Amino acid sequence: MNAATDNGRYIVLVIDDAPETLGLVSDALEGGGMTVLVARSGEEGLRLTQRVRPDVILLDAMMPGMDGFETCRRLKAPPISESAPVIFMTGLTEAEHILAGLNAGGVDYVTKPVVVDELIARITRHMMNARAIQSARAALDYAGQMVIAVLPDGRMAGCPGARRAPWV
Amino acid sequence: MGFLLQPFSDAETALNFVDEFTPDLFLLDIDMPEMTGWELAEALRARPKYRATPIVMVTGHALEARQPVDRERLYDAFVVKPYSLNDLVSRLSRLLNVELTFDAPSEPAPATNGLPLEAVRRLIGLADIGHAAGVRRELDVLVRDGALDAALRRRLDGHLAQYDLSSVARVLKEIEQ
Repeated sequence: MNAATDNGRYIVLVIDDAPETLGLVSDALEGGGMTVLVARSGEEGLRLTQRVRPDVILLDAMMPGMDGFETCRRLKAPPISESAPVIFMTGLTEAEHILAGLNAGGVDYVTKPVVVDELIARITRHMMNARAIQSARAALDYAGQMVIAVLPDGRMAGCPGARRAPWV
Repeated sequence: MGFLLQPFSDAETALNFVDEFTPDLFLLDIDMPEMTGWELAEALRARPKYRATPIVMVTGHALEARQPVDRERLYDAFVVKPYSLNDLVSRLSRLLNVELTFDAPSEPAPATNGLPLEAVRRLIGLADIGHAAGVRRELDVLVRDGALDAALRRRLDGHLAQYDLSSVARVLKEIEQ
């Protein structure tokens, strides 16, 4: 599973071009018992996801070069198809950034300067949701073949052109 | 290679010219008479074509270095005087996404004296996944064991302080060779 690479700790990937923010956020999250990986640009962040599977990604919206929105779109699209939830970090009162972040595939946002306790609470919540989804998916991957859903009229659900179950 | 510079000694003059050409990066002093560097940055950001252009702010006041969280959208890097020219140039090139090449080796070849190869490889592995805290912990162990020489340590610490783990990995890969 995801975080098993580091004693079962949650892995947070933080992508931000400002070393000051990276320092503040990673100190706080490490203090909260998480493993923090950092990237100074969108490109670097994309490269990192080829090597590690983070549980959650914190993404600065405004970065020189590839901005956070474009980074998020690329993370979520094939071939990367990153499943980890993305939380945007934006400046205060930038409503259009929040909207752009959610449209680009983010699940949530926090405003800068970051409030540490709130950040940790949000990260934990999103990671738990993501894990629940992932274990449901894993269960289906494993047991999917043994599951048959039958519709009220006797057809089997879930496959196109479903045939009538033979025993009906 | 080099950078093509267009210096201006005050913000108003600079502002009159930024519509005529398009710099790849701005280096702005905060303390200027009349219009300050912050006001200039604000004016630049208000122009659509400079919304995402890297802006580097320069200040002579060390105390200011921690202040401008609320102005984060205005700048991409913050430099406090006195700064080292090498550091400034390397930060600018990072912001511009260009790689610096040197005619002659500008950095002395790192001394590996006694640094175990497996430790170097472990460090590279950590740096390659962006694990700053892990790199720091490994380095602390090496320092405690006296396996890391001062010059190399300074170099790695400098990159680590900037959370520039690509550079940490690059330095270590040079050693691994």
